[in-house]
Amino acid sequence: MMAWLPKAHVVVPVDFSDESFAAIDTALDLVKTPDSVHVVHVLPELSATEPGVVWETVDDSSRMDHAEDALRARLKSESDKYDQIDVAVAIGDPGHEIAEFASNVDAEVIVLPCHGRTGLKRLLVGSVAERVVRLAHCPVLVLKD
Amino acid sequence: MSHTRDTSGKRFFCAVFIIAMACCVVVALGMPSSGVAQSADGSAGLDPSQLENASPLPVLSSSLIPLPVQSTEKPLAPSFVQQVDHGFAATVDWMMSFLFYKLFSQPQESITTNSRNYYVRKVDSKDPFQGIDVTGKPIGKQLTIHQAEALKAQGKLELGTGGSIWRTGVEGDRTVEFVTVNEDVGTKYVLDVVDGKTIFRKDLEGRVLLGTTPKDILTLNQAKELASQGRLQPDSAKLTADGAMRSGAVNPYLAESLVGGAPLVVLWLAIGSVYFTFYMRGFNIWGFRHAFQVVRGRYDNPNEPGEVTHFQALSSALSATVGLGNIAGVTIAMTIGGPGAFFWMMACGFFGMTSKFVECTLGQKFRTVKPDGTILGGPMQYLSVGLKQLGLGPLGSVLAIMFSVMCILASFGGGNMFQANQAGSAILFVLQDTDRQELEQVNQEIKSAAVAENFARLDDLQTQKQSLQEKMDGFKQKFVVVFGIVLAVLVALVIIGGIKRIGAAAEKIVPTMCGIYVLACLYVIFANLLDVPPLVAMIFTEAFNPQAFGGGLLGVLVIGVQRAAFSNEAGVGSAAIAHSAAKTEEPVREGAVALMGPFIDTIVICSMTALVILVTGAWDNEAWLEQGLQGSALASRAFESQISWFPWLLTVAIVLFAYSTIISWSYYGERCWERLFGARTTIGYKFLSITCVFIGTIAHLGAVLDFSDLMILSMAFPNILGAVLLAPGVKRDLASYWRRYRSGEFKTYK
Repeated sequence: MMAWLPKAHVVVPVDFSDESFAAIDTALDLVKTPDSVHVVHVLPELSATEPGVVWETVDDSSRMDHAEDALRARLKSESDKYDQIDVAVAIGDPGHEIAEFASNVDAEVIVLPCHGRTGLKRLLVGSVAERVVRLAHCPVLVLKD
Repeated sequence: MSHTRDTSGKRFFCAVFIIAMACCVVVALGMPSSGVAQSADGSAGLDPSQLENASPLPVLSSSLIPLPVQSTEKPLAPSFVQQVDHGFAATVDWMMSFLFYKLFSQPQESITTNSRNYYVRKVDSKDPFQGIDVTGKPIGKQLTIHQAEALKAQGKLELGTGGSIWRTGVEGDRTVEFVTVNEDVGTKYVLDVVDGKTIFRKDLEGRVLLGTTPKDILTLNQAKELASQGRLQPDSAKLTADGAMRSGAVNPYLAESLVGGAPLVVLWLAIGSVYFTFYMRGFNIWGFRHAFQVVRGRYDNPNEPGEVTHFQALSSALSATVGLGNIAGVTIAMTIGGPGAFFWMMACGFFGMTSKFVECTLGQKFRTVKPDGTILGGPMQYLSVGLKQLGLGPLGSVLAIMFSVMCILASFGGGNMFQANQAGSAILFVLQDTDRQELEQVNQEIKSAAVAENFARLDDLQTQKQSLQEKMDGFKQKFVVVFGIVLAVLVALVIIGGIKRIGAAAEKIVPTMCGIYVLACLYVIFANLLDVPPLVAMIFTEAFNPQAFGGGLLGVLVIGVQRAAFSNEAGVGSAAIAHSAAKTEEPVREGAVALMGPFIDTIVICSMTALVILVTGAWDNEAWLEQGLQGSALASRAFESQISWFPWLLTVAIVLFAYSTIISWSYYGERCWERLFGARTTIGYKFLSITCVFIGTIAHLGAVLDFSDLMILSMAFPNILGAVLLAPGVKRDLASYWRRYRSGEFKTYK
C-alpha cells in the first residue's frame, strides 16, 4: 500500500495545456524538494515528408533542444517556484515514453491530468492516461478537474 | 485618417469586384452559342435563345420506329465489381452536379446516326442470315458465319452473352436468331440555323468544332428521311427502360442537352484571382523583384521561427504542383482548346500569382509553431483561427473542416492515384512500343483482308492478332501489379518507414528535371523559330475570337483556366501548408516567395509544353490524333518528332514528377488529418495513402479521376471565401511591410 509520505521522484507528463501545468502543483505537494519533480514532454515522430526533414534542417536533437527551451520558458513565465524542477523531452509514443522515462528515474508515482477529450478524438485516439496506467511500473495518479 | 481611407478603399474594391462579376455575366450571356463555329461564309449562327423565339424545333419524326427484331435474351446481371463501379460513378455524378455546376451553358439540339443492320435466320438452321431493313422487309443481302466472324474481328458486331455472334429474338411473331452489325458508333450532327435554313452540322470528334463543308452537313429533309428509315438513334432521355417512348415525350430522334458553360468553381477561382490582383494593386508585378531577392536568400535569418529557408519552402511547394498537369494536362488543353487556350492559361498563371500570395501570407500569419520548432499551418488553420478573430468563428470552423476533408480526399485522388496511374501508363507505353506498332500493322492487314474476303489470310491474321493482344494484355496485367507494388513500397519506405533519403532525393531532383525539361522544350522551339511569330499572332487572335474552335470565347477560356488551375493550384490553398514552414517572422515575405510558384509552374513550364505542342503542330495533327494519341502520349510523340530519344527521358521525368507529387501531397493530407483527428492517428492516413498508390496503378480510372479533380478544385470554395474575408488584413500587412522595406528596416544577410 502506497504510504502518503513525501516521494523521492514524481513524474509529471505535460503537453503544454493548462491542465497539465496545473498537475505540476499537485506533484509539488507530494515531494520535499522541487527537483524531485520530473516534467516530461513527449514529441511525436516526425514524418519524412515534413519539409524540415526533406531539407535536413530539422532533426531529433534540434527538436528536443527547442522543446526543452520552450518548456523551461513556459515554466518560468508561470512562476519562479518551478525553477528547480527537472525538465526532460522524449520522442515517440506518449504512453510508452512516459512509462519508460518513469522507470528510468525510479519514479514512485506518475501524476496525470485528466484530459476530458470527448467525441471523435476520444474514440480514435483513446487516452494517454489509459495507456500510461497500463504500461507504467509504478502507481499512477489521474487527476480530475 | 488611414481608417477612413481604408474603409473607402474597401468599398471601392468591393464595387470593382461586383462590377467584374456583372461584366462576366453580361459578356457571357451576349455570346454566340457555344458549340457553333462561324460558318464558312463568315456569318455567325443565331444563338438558340433567338432560335426558340423565332421558330419551334423541327419535328423529325413524331413516333419511334420500332426495331425489326427484339432480343429475348436476358442481359447478364452486373457483377459485384460492376455494381460498385456503377454506384461510385453515380455518386460522383451527383457530386459533380453541384460542385461542378455549370453556368452559362447553352442548349444544344442534335441527332446521331444509327447504322445498324439486322440479319435473321430461323432458329437452329445452318443457313446464312438474311438482311432486313427497319420495317422487316428483306433487302436481298446475306451474311454467312465466316463473314460474321470477319465483322466480329473488326469490332462491328453487337455480341450476345458470352461473346456469341448471334442472339435469339422475336421478329414479328416468329422466333429467330439474328446478328446485329453496327458499322460505326454513330455520328453526331448538331442543329444550327444558317440564313434562315435549319441544317445539321457534323460534330468532329475530340474537338469543340462543327463541320462547315457540304460533306459534313445534313439538310432538314435529309434528317427527316433518316428518321423515317430508322437510321437515327433515339434520345435515351426520352425512352423508358425497355426502349419505348416516354409518355409526353415528342420528337424522339432530336436530342436536347446543355453544353459548354463554365463550372462555377472555375469561375470562382478566376474571379477570385482577378479580385486579389486588383485589391493588392498588382503586387504580382511590382513585388516580383523583391520576391526574387528573398528566394535568393537575401533575408534568410536561421534564427527565425520555422523549419526551412524561403527557397526550400518554394521547392517543396513546387514539387507538389509540378506534375502530370504540366505535361499531360497542357497537351489536352491545346488539342481541345487550341492556341487561344494558351493565352488564357497564361492569364490564369499571371492572376493566380496574387491568389498564392494572399493564401500563403495567411498561412504564415496564422500558423502554429509547435514546441519542437516544427510548424503546423495552412488553410485549416487560417480559416478557423483567422475567421474567429473576425468574429466569424462558426463559419471558420465549418470552412476549416470542409477544407480538411476535401484536401485529404484530394491527396488520395489527384495527388496520389492519378499520378501513380499515369506514371505506370507512361512506362507501359514506352515498354510496349514495338508490340503496339506491330498490332497496328496487323489491324490494318485484317481490315484489307476482310474487305477482300480473303478468309485463309484472315484466319492467320486473326490468330496473330489474338496472340499479340494476349501477349500485350498479359504483360500489362503483370506489369501494373508489379509496378503498383514497387511504387507503393517506395512510397511506404518514405512515409511509414521514415527513410528520409529517398523522399529527400526525389524532391531535390525535381528542380533539376524541370531545368532539363525546359531546355529540351527551348531546343524544340528554337529549332522551329521561324514558325513562332505567326503562332504568337494566332494565339492572340484565337484567344478572343476563336475561329478554329467552337465553344466561343467562354469555352476556350474555361479550358485554359481549368487546366492551369489544376496545374498551379493557385486559390486552392494546398501550397499554404508547405509555405508556412519557412523561417521568417514576416508573413508577407513568404507570401511574396509563394507568388513565384505559379510563375514557374504555369508561365514557364506549362508554356514550354504548350509551345512545343503548338510549334510541332501536334495540337492539330490529324494523323497523330486519329491514332488516339492524347495527353502525355501525344506530348511524347511531339518530342519524338524533334528529338528521337526524348520519350525515354520524358518517361523518367514523368515518373519522378509523379513520385515527388505523391510524397508532397501526402504531407498535405497528413497535416489535414492531424487537424481533424489528432497527431497520433496519422498512421491510419499513411496506410490509406499506400493502398491508394497500389489501387491507382491497377485500376481503370474513370470516375475515380473525375472525383479526385473535383476534390482539388473544390478546396477552392472554402479557401477563397475565407481568403476574401481575410484579405483586408493581408492588405494592411502588405502596406506595413512595404513601408518598412522601403525605409531599409530589414537586415540583409547575403
